[in-house]
Amino acid sequence: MLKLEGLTPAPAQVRGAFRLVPLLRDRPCEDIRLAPHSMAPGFKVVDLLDRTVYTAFVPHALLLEWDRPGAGAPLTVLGGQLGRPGRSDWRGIETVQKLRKREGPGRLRFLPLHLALEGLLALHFAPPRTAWKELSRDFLRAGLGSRSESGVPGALLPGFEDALKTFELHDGQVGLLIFVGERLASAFVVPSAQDYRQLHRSVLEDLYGELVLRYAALYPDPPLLGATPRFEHARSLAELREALTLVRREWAVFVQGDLLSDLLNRPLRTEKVYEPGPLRLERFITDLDPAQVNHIGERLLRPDGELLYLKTFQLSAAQTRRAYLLQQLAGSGWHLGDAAAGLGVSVPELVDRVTRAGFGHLLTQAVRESAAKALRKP
Amino acid sequence: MPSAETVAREDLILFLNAAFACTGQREFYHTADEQRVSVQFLHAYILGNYRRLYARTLAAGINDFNAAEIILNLLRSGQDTPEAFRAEENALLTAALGRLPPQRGWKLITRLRQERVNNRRTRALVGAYTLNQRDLTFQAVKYRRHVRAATIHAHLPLPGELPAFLFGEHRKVFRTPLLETFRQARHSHRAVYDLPFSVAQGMAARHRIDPGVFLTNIAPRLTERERLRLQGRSGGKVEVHPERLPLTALCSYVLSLPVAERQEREAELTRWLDVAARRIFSRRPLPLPAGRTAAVLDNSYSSSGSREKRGRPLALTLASDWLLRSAVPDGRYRAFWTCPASAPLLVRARGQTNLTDRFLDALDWGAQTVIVVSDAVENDPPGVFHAAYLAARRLVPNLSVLHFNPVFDAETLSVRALSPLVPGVGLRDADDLPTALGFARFAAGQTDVGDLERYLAARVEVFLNAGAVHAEA
Repeated sequence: MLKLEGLTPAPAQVRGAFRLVPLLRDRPCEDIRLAPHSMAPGFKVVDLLDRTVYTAFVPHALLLEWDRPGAGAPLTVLGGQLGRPGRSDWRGIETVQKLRKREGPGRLRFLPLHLALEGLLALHFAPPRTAWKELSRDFLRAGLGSRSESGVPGALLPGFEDALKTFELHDGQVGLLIFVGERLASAFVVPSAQDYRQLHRSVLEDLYGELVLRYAALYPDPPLLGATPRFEHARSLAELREALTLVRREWAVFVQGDLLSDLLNRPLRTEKVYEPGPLRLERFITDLDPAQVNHIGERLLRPDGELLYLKTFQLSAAQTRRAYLLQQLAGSGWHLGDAAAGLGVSVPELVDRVTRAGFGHLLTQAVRESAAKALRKP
Repeated sequence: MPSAETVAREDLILFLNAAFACTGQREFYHTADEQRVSVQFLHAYILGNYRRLYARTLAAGINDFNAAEIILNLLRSGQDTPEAFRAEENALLTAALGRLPPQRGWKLITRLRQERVNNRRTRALVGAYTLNQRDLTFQAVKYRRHVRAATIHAHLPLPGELPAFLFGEHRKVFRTPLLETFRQARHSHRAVYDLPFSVAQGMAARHRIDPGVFLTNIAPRLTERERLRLQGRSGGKVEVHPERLPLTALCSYVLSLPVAERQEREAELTRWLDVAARRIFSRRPLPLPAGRTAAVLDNSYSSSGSREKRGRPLALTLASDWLLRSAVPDGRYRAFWTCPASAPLLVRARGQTNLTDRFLDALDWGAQTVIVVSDAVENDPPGVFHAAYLAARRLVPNLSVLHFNPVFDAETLSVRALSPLVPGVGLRDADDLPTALGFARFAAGQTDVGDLERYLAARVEVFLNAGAVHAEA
């Protein structure tokens, strides 16, 4: 389960189709820093540990520094980059070693969001254990082979750049929740306010779910969620001030309770990526319930549960469906009959679903044809 | 259904506010195009429905951009003027055109030519404007293209050597010294430095004079604004005398300095600001009620303005602060910035807009009059100022809240208000604060359209009788 431990949402700022909710940290964090890495943007081919390859357009990398020797140290991270990175180079393809790489003691370079995306793509990637005769020979030999998913770059979302540019940063702000059409599009949290100031505009370069683009175009003006006025019955100035505090607190509760119901209090499937010192860097996927909007993401936690870093990506319905289907099939050991029973459908219907989800090549042609024939019958 | 009177009053106040604040330039939340389209719609609407009042707004202390726009619109539609109003409208047009700064006046005439507005009244107005210039020779050199346009457009018989200068080929020697300098500057480097800066700049480029050398030599001829504009990139070659600037411009200058420098020169800057502020309210005192006055000042990130108006809202806020500070006796005024700095000179545009917190701070301090200077885009939390104001009105007897807004909101066609009960008053320059304070009671809606008309008529009286002196009333 995900919790915004150690963070408080402040009132939202609405601009265009975007409702941006700043997140403030309760206790300032001084020992951990996150800064833009000097890696140039571009197409990267990443060699993974299991000898597979991950290819993506990577707009930026981040540098995490944890073993900080005390408060007197400089505020910038060694090897980090101040200011905006240069123009992206779309022509060259660069090879990168690993999605996350230790760069000297106490420092880790990683590709934000791509940790999580790679997790999604690698889901049930390996070949099945049992060679059911319905499965194609290629699948039995090589597993899924190749998988691809895509998203929309933030710069293409209408009005997003404007919304980020006119956003008024709070003093202790360390994160941002982006809502489009009252759905969480993305959440972004970093350890300290200085880091956030540097990384605020990098949100524009990130990847967003396809649904975000659709909602941004469909619902251009989200209603102003006025915090309930509690001022009517105040009898003194002190009570007025209390009312103001109450309005802020109610808003924070509302964000965590209602607005974030897609992300918080959902069962998560997590996987540890790295353990920097006492911290934990993990990636996660929500429970892939097709009835809800699902998110993938990555987070950095303190041992006491304080959320230091978070970045999420909203899966589109089709992406959820694909991942869900793979999960169900893998769960029943790729036995079509069991999987169909688990989903409450007949085997031909399941085969049809698998084909439409783009996984038809995993089954033999005979299975697909007989399923299509069975479905054609009245 | 609101009566025709109410509609008229609201329309006019809407328009006046827009005409105080809007400059057709890019703002923090809106592009220049949005601003221009929006304000031009307002102009067309008011001109079509309330022509007489539209003309009279020229006297109400609106900004130069809108004054030029009104003159153009009135000249364009001269045949709609009622017979009885013709004399007054003509007088207003003449006075308003005369009061525009020269660059705006000449540009307006060129626009008249481009848009082919050429009726008898326009020709007479352009002729009077051109021929009554105090130093037409200088104007003809500095605004050569525009003066030529005016001459052609209004068929003007220009005196002396000007026709030869504007239309000739400059073969013969001129007897007028400035014209002769201009002629020589085509070939001589030395003569370039005796020309007005903007003209000399073009000549220098043609002669390929090194910019550094050029700036050093032209420095004595620069106007104050030109100095201010150039000093940043001149590498210390151009001296500025910011103490001569009006208050708002001086504030812009102060805010353009790095914080460390502001801290270092605090005594000096404070002295300059005091002098500039005193200059304003010695001309016309601020009509403020007795009792404690607090200012809630917005220095959130949005007060950083836009690329075209860098830091303008913040400069205006700082200028208002200084003006109130100097005008109200000690101990009866206090400023509350949304994101406080250790000294008012060190303010920066940052943080969110939490006006309600500061409003409550001001009430705690015991303020009777609260003056809010803000673009009214409240976001921490949004929309609570209204609720807090309603409650505070019950709790604090005789509370009066005035809201001045430096930004025209293109979407709502007006300046944004914090609460329906505290309408915003547009403000472009702290020099206009006394006028704006006088106007605030109309915006508050306690008066009817008759009062507003009388107010405008009185302003027209002052405007027309003050002659060439800029009317401050």
